[in-house]
Amino acid sequence: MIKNRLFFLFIIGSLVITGCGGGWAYAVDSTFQDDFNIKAKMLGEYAELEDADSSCDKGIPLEIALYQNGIRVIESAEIVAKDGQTFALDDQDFIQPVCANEDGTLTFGDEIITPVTVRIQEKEESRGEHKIQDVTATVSAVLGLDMDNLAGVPLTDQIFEHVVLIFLDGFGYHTYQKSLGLGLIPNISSDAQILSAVTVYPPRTSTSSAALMTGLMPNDSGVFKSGIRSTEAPTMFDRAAEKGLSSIAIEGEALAFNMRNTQAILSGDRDQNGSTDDNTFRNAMEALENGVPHLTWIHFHGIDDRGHTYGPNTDEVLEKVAEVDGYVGQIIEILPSDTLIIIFADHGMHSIQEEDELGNHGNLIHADMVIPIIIKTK
Amino acid sequence: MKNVIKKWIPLFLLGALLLASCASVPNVDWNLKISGAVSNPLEVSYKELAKMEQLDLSDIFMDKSIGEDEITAWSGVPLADLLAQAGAEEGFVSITALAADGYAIEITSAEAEGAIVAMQQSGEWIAEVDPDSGPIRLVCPQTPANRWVFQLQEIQINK
Repeated sequence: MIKNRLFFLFIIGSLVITGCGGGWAYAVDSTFQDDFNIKAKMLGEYAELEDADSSCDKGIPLEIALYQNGIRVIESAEIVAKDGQTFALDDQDFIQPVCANEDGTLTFGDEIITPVTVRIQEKEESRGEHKIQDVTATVSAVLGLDMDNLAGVPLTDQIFEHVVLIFLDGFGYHTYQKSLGLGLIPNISSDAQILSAVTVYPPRTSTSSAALMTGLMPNDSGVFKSGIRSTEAPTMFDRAAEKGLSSIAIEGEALAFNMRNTQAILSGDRDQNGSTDDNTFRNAMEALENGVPHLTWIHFHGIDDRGHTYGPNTDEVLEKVAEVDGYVGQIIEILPSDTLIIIFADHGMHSIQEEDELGNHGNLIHADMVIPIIIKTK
Repeated sequence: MKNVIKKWIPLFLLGALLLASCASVPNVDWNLKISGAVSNPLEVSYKELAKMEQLDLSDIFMDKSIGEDEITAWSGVPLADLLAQAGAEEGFVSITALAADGYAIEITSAEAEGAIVAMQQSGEWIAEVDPDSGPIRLVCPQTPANRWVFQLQEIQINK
């Protein structure tokens, strides 16, 4: 009698667990990270991190769960399914994306499988010591700002009177390497310390800008997906203002992220030549000729714009890189001595084949996640 | 007595209708400034905007940077009317739209052609159906929707 009751309760319990979609888990092992499990309840916790334009209808992109557990850049993956089949995926497969579904299955291409193990191969350079937040930590150290709990480390131990940040939107590390090889960036690359660094996921301008301005990881700044344009966390501009230091931010036609406690100057395409970079350059020169503040932020958008339209590393993108290099040279020329110049990108770019777009970014892959940080002094 | 009541009923109904139409405008504490290269800087309240002549824009393609593109309908005050009232300098090159949350965007005068300061989307007050995006939004049909600044607080005219 008791056995029958226990058996009945066991069946009911199993049905409840199955009905809730709970109970499943699969293992992830990676090149540099301790193994971990992706479990049913994680997908619910990570659901709010999903971008509105994600195409995972029954779950979330797997790369969200991977990033939340310490994976930084996916090179390739091998997935072992419950039925013993193995599937080899390259980084391009993650653009589709690979979806982690609520029922414990994975979807990629035309496949729907129940995984047992996901083996992730990471890029070695992504596990290096450099991160986009190193820029913030450097600004904080150089100008003596009171920024706490930063995710990055300072890249110099010297003190400077001025810091000029030159933000090249969409200038990923592979574009930097190609431009360097073709001799297109003499002003950017000469007499410089050049580092490869990893940006934040999703690699988009708003999330990366928040990481740059606050020095925090997305979960800490509250800017963990596209569409969030404000942060409660203190920014480098807030901290500079608290210290009584002057700052200025010269942007393109729109603020990439809300900026407070600085003088923000927009540079719309007033000459209507299809680019805001020349306007940004003119505004930067005018502002700097009137006196170089302690902290300057100059954001060129054209490399990213062309990357979206023509695809990464195309002739049109490289032409824009050379144009911006010319602007950078002229800006550096008018800077006073005792100035630290940091040139960096927010994200890179990968190829896509859409009707009106041949480039995009937003995935946990090398082309999107790895950026240059270039340090120069005057 | 009956005749008196009969006389007052239509007036009462008319008054009730007027009140109902006034009451349909949400009670929102919001002002929009028009500044910069203008001869008559303006500051108009939400209620004043609602009383101005409204233009309906239907079948407007909303090219979104996040999420699916949509065909939408908007209603609001033509930007050109506000700029005329503020005495915007002829031949101004661009406007800068500033939002209450600190966001700002510059839009050329060509791109701003046909724009409205939208108060309603698909016949419903933005303030009521989408308060985070409201109560007023710049709708520029000539540009992608990520440039349609919501929480619109100020429009600066640049010469």
